Amino acid sequence: MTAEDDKPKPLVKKLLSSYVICAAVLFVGLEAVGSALNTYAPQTLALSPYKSANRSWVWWNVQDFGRLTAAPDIVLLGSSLMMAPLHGGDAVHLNSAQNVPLHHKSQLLQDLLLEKFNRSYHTFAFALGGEMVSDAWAISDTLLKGERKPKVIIYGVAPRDFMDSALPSAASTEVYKYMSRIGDLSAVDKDAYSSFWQQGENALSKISFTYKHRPDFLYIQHRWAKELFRKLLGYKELELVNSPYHVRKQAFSELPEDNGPGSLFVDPPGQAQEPYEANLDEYRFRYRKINLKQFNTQLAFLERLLVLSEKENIRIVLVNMPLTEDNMGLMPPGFYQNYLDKVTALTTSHKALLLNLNDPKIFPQKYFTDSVHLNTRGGEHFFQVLADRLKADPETAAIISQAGVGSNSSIKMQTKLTRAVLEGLPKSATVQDVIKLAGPHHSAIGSGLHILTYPLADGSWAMIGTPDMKAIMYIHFQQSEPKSGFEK
Amino acid sequence: MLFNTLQYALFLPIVFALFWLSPQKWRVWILLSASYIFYMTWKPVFILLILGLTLVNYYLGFAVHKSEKHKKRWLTLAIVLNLGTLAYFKYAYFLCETTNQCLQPFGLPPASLPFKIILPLGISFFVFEFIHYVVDVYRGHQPIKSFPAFALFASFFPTQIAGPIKRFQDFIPQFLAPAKLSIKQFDTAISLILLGLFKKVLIADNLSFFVQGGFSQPQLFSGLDLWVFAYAFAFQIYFDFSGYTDIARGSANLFGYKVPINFNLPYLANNISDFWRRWHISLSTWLRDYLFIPLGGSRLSKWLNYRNLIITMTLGGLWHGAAMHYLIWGLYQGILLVAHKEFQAFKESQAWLKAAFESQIGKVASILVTFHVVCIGWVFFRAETNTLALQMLSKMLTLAPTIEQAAGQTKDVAMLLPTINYPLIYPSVFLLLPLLALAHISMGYINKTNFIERTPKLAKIAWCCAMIFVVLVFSPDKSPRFIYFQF
Repeated sequence: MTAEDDKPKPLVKKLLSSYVICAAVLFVGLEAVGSALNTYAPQTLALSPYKSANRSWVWWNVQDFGRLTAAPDIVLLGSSLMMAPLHGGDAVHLNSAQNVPLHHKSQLLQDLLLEKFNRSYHTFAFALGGEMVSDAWAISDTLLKGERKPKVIIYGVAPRDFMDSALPSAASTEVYKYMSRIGDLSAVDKDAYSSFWQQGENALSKISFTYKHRPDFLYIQHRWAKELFRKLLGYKELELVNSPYHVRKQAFSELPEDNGPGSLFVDPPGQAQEPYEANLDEYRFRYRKINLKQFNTQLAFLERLLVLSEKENIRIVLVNMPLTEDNMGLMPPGFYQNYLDKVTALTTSHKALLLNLNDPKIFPQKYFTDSVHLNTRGGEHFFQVLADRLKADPETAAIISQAGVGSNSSIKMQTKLTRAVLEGLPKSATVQDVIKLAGPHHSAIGSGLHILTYPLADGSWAMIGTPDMKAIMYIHFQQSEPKSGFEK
Repeated sequence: MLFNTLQYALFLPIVFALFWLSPQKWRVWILLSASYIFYMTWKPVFILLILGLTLVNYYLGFAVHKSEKHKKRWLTLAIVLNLGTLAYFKYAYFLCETTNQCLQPFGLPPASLPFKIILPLGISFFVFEFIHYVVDVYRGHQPIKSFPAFALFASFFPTQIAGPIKRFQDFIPQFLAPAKLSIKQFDTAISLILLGLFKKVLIADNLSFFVQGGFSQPQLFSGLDLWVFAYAFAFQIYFDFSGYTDIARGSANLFGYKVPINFNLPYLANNISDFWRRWHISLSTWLRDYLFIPLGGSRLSKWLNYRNLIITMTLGGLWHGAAMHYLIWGLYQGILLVAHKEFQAFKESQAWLKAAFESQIGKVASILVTFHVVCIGWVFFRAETNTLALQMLSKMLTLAPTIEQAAGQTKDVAMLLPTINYPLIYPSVFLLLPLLALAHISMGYINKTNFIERTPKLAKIAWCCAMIFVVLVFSPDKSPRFIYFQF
C-alpha cells in the first residue's frame, strides 16, 4: 500500500482513483451509447451485417441473392457435393469456365426444365463447401421466406452433412456464423453451440455491443486501411494480392474464408478423361468418430427445415447425393443405413420427396473427380437425371409446371466477347477503354451470373457475365466492390 | 489454457478474487491449486510429470545441501534426471531420426520409437528452473523449506508455459512476505495484460498469417519479398513473445509478485552481444550462469572462450526445438558472437574505426546492421527446414528478382494477378513494418522519459478503453498459439 492509499477513502472514490476501473466504466458506457445509437439511429453508425471484411463463399451468395429482383423459382442447397455438379455441369453446358464465387445458379437445370416443361425458370444456388444441415436451415430460415421464397428447394444431402469429425459444433461453420449475423437464430442456440465455451462466447456477443459487432468494426477498419493505402501508395488492386492463390490459401488457412472475385474457376473438360484425386484420408478423418449427438442435432435441423418448408408452402426435394463405393466403405458399419433410414422417415413424415441418386449404376466411378465429388461430366449427368426424376414425380412436376415464365425469355446471342479479349487490355485500362472495347454491347448489369471481375487502373471494376443467356457479354463497371441488394 | 482466450478471461478474475478474499495462509495453496488446474486444462495426465519433478527436485535440493561427501553426486543425479526427462520428451524423435540418417549409408534398418511421445507444455522452462535451483543450492544457497512454496515456484501459472525463467531467490521471498494490493499495482497489472494482448492479437497474430505465406513456399517469391517476410517475422516473434511476457508479468502482478522483464527493445541493439542482453533476457542469463560459466566462461584462453560461446549458443538453439534448423540458428548466433568479439578487438586497435562507430551515423548504422544480421538468423529459426532456409537466404542475399510461376496455375488466375511479377506483395506491410519500427524506437524515448507515469489520468483512461476495444474486436477467431509455447 502506498501512503496515499493508506488514507481512509470511501470505497467508490478509492475505486475511481484507478484509471483501469474508470476505463472499464467508460467502456461500458460507450457500449450502451453504441447499442442505443444502433437501435434508435442506425444511420449514425451505419453498421451493416451484409458488409464484411472477409468475403466468404456464403458472403458472395448472399450479396448476389440480395440483387435478385424477384424470388427464384428453385433454390439449390447442399455442400460441395452439390457445388461440384452445379459448376461442372454449367462448365460443360456453356462450354466456358465458371467463376465459382460469382456463379450462383444452374443454367443447365434451367435449360433442362425449359425443355421438359416449356417454361423458363430462375434458379439460385446456396450450395456451399462444407455446408451442414444446420447451415441449410440457417440459410432457409433467414432468407428463403416471405417475398423471396422459392417454389421448390432441391437439397442435396450426404452422411457427412450430418456427422463431421472436423467440426466441433453446428455454429462453428462460416455459413452459420454469417447467417447468425443477418438473421435471428437464437431460438436454436442450445443445439448450435455445443460446448460451454462456445455458449459463453455467444452469451458475450449478446451482452457486449462491441463483441457482437466485431465483424462490422473489422469491415470499417479494412475500408479505412484500403482508402489510406490507395491515397498513400496508389494501389488500385487491393482486392487482390500478388501471390498465387494456393499460397494465399495456405497462408490464410487459419483465417476466416476470403475469396476474391476470380479466386476459383471450374473449367470445361477437355477430350481426355478427367483426373481422379484420391481424398480418402480426408474422409477417414471426417468419419473417424461417430458423434451421435452431432448426428441427432443435425437431424433435428433437417426436421426444422422440413417444417419451415411446409409452413412456407415450399416443395422440398431431398437428393441423396452420389458417393463412390470406396467412400461408403470408410463409414462405420451400419452408419449409412441408419442415416438413410432416418432421412427417409423424416421426408416421409413431412411429405417431402426423397430422390436417392447414390447408385453406382447411375453414377459409376468415371463420373467422379474424387471419392465424393462429381466431375464436370458427372455434373452434367447429375442434372439430367435430376430433371428426369423431377418430371417423373407428379406432385413436384405439378408445382414446377406452375412456376417460371410461360415462354422462353432468354435473350438471343448478341455477341461473343470472351475473356481472351479482356486479356489484351493493358494494365492501365480505364472504364472508357472497356466501354470502347465492348462497343454497342455495353450495358449495365442487373443480377445473375458474372464470369469475371476485372480490376481497372482507376479503382473501378469491369464485370463480364452471362445472366440468363449463353456467351452474351456484359460490361459493367462500378467503384469498389459490388453492393448487396439488401443494402438500401 | 491460452492467455488470449475466454477461458483465461474467466479463470484469472476467479483466482484473483479467491486469492485476495482468503486469509494469507491459504494464498499459496490457492495459487498452487490454480496453477495445477491451469496446467491440467491442456492434458490432465501431465500433472504427474510436473508433480513428480517437483517432489524429486525438492528432496534432491536438501540432499545436495546436507551432504558433505556426495554433494556433487547428488547434483549430478539431479541434473541427469532433469535433462533426461527433457531429452526423453523433447529430443527422442530427433535423436532417433539423426541416428537413422547416420546409419543409412551403412544399409542398416531405420530405428523407430515403439510409442508416441507428446511434448509436455512448458517443460523446457520448468526443467531449467529446477536445474537453476539445485545448482544454486550446490553453490551454497539455502534450499526452500516450504514445499508448497517450492511447488509454486515451478508451477506458477503466469510463467508456467513460456517463462520468464524465474530465479527462486527473487521469487520465494515475495511469496513468503504478506501480499498487499494497491490501486497503482492493480492498474499497472491490468495495463500490462492489455498491452500484452494488444501486441499478441493485433500485431503478432495478424503478421503470422502474412509470414506463413512466405515461409511456406519461398520459391514463389522474389528476394525483396523474402526480406519483407523476414522483417515481418522479426516483429511477429518479438510482439508474440514480449506480448506473452507482458501478460505473464501483469497476471503475476495481480497477486503481488514481480516477474523480471524478458525484453529490452532488442532491435535497438547495436551489436549481437548487446542483442543477447536485450532478447529473452531470462534465457540468456540462464545460459550464461548455468552453461557458459561452468564451461569456463571467458576466463580461459581466447579460443576456449570462443568454443564456450559456440557451445552455449548452439545448445541454446537446440533448447528451442529438436530440429536441425534450431541447431543451425544457435550455431549462427555463436559464430556471430565470436565474430563480434574479434571485430571489437580490431576496432579497439584502430582509432579511426572506433571514432566512426561512436559517431551518430556509426551508431545508427550499427543498429541497422545488427537488425539485419538478426533477421538472417530468424530465417533459420522460422523456416521449417534448413533447405528452405538456405533457399530463402540465397534469394535474399542476391536480391533475386524472379519468381517461379506456380505449377498448375490456370490462365484465368494468372490474368487476375496482372502484377504477379512485381516483387512487392502486400502493400499494407509497407505501412505496418515502418510503423512498428517507429514504435520500437519511440519506446526507448518513452521509457527514458518515464512518459507513462507522467501521462494525465484521462489519457490513461482513454488508452485503456482503446485497448479493451482493440482486444475485443481484433482477436482472430482462431488465434495461433504463442510461438514460445512450442518450446
